Amino acid sequence: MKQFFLSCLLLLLTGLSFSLYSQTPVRDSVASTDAYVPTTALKIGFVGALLYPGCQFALERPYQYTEVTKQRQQKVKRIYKERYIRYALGIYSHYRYHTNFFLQCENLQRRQKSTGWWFESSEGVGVSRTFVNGPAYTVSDEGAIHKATLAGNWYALVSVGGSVGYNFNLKKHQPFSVYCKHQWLVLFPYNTLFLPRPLIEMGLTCSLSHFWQAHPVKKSKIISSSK
Amino acid sequence: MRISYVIILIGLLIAGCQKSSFTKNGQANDQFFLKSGNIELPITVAGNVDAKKFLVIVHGGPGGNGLDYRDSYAMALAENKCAVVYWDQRFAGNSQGNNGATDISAFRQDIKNILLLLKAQYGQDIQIYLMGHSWGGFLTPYFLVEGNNQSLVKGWIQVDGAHNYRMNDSLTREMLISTGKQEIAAGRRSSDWQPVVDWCMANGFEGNDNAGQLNGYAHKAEEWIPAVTTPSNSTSSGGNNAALLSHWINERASGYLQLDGPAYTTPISDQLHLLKLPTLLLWGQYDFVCPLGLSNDIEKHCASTNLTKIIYEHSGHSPMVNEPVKFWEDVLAWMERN
Repeated sequence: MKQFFLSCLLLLLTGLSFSLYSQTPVRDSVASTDAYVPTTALKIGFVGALLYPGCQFALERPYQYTEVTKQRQQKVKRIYKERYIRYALGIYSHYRYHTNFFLQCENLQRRQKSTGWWFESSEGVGVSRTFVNGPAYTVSDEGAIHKATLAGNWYALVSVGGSVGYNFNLKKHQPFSVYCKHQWLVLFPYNTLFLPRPLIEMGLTCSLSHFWQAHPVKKSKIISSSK
Repeated sequence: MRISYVIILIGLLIAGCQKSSFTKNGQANDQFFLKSGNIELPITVAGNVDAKKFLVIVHGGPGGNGLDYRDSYAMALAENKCAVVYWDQRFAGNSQGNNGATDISAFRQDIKNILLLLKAQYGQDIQIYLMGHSWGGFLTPYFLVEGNNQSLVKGWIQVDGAHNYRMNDSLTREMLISTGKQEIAAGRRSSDWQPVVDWCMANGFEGNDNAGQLNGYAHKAEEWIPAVTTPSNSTSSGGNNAALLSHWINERASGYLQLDGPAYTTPISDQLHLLKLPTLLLWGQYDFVCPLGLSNDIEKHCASTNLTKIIYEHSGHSPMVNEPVKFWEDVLAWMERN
């Protein structure tokens, strides 16, 4: 647990140091991003379900992106509107409650600035299998007691989330980015209704240039303004 | 081949070294689950197992939480002297799963299964005391009057319980009117009391809507009585690891499924004559939710020759919260005697 929080702190500090870097003024912000193409990437993140730790592994694959160039008198700005499919396998463990393994497929909408910062929203569907955190027993009608193996439940899940991250590919041409994501998992049916679980995820994304190569559809848009 | 043997040996060693889920002596803090169909009910056994006295709490609600009772007083006082069993009922607290039976007979079977499980794991010689509070005070006698279930239990502790729902609503209405009038006459919180008295005078106690309204007023009224106190250092224990959202959702599921609906057509009063085991009745003087009149009904009909009744003059619906020291001392002393 202590190691988990230390790791989170390290990631946070890393993020902060990059935010300082991003404050340096960049006039010609698009020059170094001309060759940018989103790629398939592997994501590894620490997950916290409120206080309870876990982790998540994901593979995200772009299927479309729009390069928007805003031409102004003083400077040119470029942003990327990207669409990904993300396949994620996660786990968290709530002490004395359950350990939850969940597999989900998400649709991501990412808005990325040429500085490298991105903001993202996502919605997903998936399946969850919980295992109760403790031994479970059944009692038969005759009063015989048996230990239940792998006691837990299957649930369907839907999720919504939002994240902020920094992509080192755009400015530094390094194949990774860091991110922080907040997500709500909703498991159902849970005792007739549903169970919401808030998650905080902090992690690292590594671009995979030679694995399951993506060929996202590119669109371009130029916006001119006299201001 | 040799490597396979080594792996198997290591596996067996690891399995052999696993800590047992059940503490056989000293202070226990055990957690396990009762699996009933597709749902799992969490059970925490905490406290002194050497005494071989187990106090099983049947919590209120429906949709309450067993671990809510594990406050600093329960830990400091009760868990030193006996083992306290905190159990979350189906559709309550940390109970999880789906498609669980909703009939009250399923709750009764759960109680029986928990008692069988406790005896199987902690020893057939342990003495079990069943303590029902509020809605748990319906389930407990409902369980005890069936078959030979009393043989599983050493004693029954009823704390502000609702063994007769119709009578309960009727008594709540009467108490709100009588106490309300007294408080208005005394000039205490007249503006709060007047609408409650007016509503009770204009409405009966029958039907879900009236029962719901009366229950809401009853909880508020308790807060308006200056004699009802709560110690400032009464705190829930940390580290209970209750899943707050699960509790919140289960509370709503209990209401949505109207789990206690059948309690209206299953009054226990006419079966209380079947109860012959040692009985302790603990009631808050100012309990509007399950008024004192319910304890009189038990006294009148229960066949136990060993019945003790204690009234808490500074308590409402939950004397374990309002007067925790006296409450736990009384419970433990009675368990010691019986």
